[in-house]
Amino acid sequence: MASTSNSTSSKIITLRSSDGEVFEVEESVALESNLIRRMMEDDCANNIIPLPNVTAPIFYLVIEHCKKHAEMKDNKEKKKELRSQGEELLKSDPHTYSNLMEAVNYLDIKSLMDLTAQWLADFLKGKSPRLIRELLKIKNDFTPEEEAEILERNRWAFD
Amino acid sequence: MEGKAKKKKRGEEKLQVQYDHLSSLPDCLLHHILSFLDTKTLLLTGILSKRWRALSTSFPILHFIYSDHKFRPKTGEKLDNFVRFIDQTLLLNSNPTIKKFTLCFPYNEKCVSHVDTCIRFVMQKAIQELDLTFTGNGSYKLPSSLLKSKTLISLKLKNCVFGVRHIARFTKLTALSLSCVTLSNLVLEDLLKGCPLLEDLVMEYFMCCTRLKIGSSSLKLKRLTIKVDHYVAIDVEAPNLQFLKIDVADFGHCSFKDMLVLRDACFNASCAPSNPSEIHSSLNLSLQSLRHAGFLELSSACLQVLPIPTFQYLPPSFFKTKSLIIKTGIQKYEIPGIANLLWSSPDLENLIINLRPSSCIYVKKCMVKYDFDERKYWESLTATFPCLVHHLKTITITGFMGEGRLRSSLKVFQSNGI
Repeated sequence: MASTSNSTSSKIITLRSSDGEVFEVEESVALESNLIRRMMEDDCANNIIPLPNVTAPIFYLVIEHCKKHAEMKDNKEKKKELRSQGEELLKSDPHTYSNLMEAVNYLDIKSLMDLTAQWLADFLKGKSPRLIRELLKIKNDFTPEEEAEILERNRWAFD
Repeated sequence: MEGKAKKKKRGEEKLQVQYDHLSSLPDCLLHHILSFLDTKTLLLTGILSKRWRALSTSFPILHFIYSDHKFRPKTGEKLDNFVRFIDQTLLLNSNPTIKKFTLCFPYNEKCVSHVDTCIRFVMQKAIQELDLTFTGNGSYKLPSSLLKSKTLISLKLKNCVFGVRHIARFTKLTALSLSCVTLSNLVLEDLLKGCPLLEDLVMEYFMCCTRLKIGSSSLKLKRLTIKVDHYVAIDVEAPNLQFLKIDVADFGHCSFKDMLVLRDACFNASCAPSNPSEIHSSLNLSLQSLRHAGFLELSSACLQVLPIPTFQYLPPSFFKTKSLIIKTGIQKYEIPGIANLLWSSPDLENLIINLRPSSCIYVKKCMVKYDFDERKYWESLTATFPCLVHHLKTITITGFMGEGRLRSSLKVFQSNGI
């Protein structure tokens, strides 16, 4: 217990993804995750920490963004750059986005929760429902009548 | 048929996962995403599919901001649509609790029943944060039921009227912001008594109230902002105050109890030259109560009420200020005050002089007091300021207008090796 809380930031933590890949991550990066923080407080730190809900490719993405997020703290340009990356990911691979969102939620990383949510919010802004459905592969399960009714109800907002 | 073609290309399993994994994420996650959207985009997601419709109608945060939408020539009709739309959205909302509700639009008397309905609705849904910002000319009279909310944590009101002596009972309220609100002295007193947990109080341009008394009932108060442009007597007794910002255009009576944990204080007072000298001594006493603040900002009038220092010993009630901002024109009526402040702030590390035109708060006959040549004054000073010897590291001068007067005062700093 004492060894975990008093160690320097250069300490390496070992984690294992659901598909068995082993990752070595700096403690300062790993502690961004409240889940890992809690596990370490419960003294699981000397062993490999298993992450049964995260696959290796997604975990790569999470670590990458954690690092970027730590770097950008005082850098406005980097912040902008990071915010604009969501558009690309959502357009090219909404499935990976959803997995990323799920993993970030599971790992409980507050900063990335907000970043990924902001990505989708920026992505939705100014696009027509039809385009959003097409890009995110959302199936329209309304009948034309139902859709017309909703449009009519919300006319004030859509004018 | 199209699906079949894709199946061959990508394989059955992959197609199924490719199909809208996003919509299958849990509600709490998707609600988190929705919290980043403006109302318009939020409603737009409601027509994507049934799943998204359910998400948007169960969303516990509702913001209705009229100016977010483009104005059309027929504003009257537009406002009707806006109000009708709010009614419908509330009707459809299926979430048993509403966390945040914002209503911001040009209010007029015709809308009173709609606003009443909104408030009744959110009260039933255990509202936590309520923001009623009414622009335009009309003022909304608050229903007495609102004042008994047991769930509200934050309340922000603009252009509202408090009725006569409704006793308020906000058992959970920690943040209260009142702007352009009409209330009497008694109602304000009752209101503050009814908020035992209040930590944050903002009062701006309130009407009908001539005495702002923050007394022993506000023990938890940490941040206080007051902004007024008419005469108000301010009486503050808040032992746990950390942040204080006061802007008063016409300074009246003021009394503060010592604030031992004060960190930031900003006192922008103006005084009319016609004010009697009691006002000046009252202001001087108030300033002494701010001496525990590490960060202090003072206006020209504040500097003018400070007496000429003796330069012999440190006053027992010296300032603990580390950063000081003074707004001054470096005029002869301000110089003794500046000297006083520097003399009695031995811990000062940063000094920011914000140069701006200033006017004297004294009528001409009192000016005899300041009948001296300010250049000679600074140059004749032989006393060593304690802050210059000990801590002072930076002096920043902003708003420089190229006046020669500054030079002599800077010489004092120079001679002390800054």
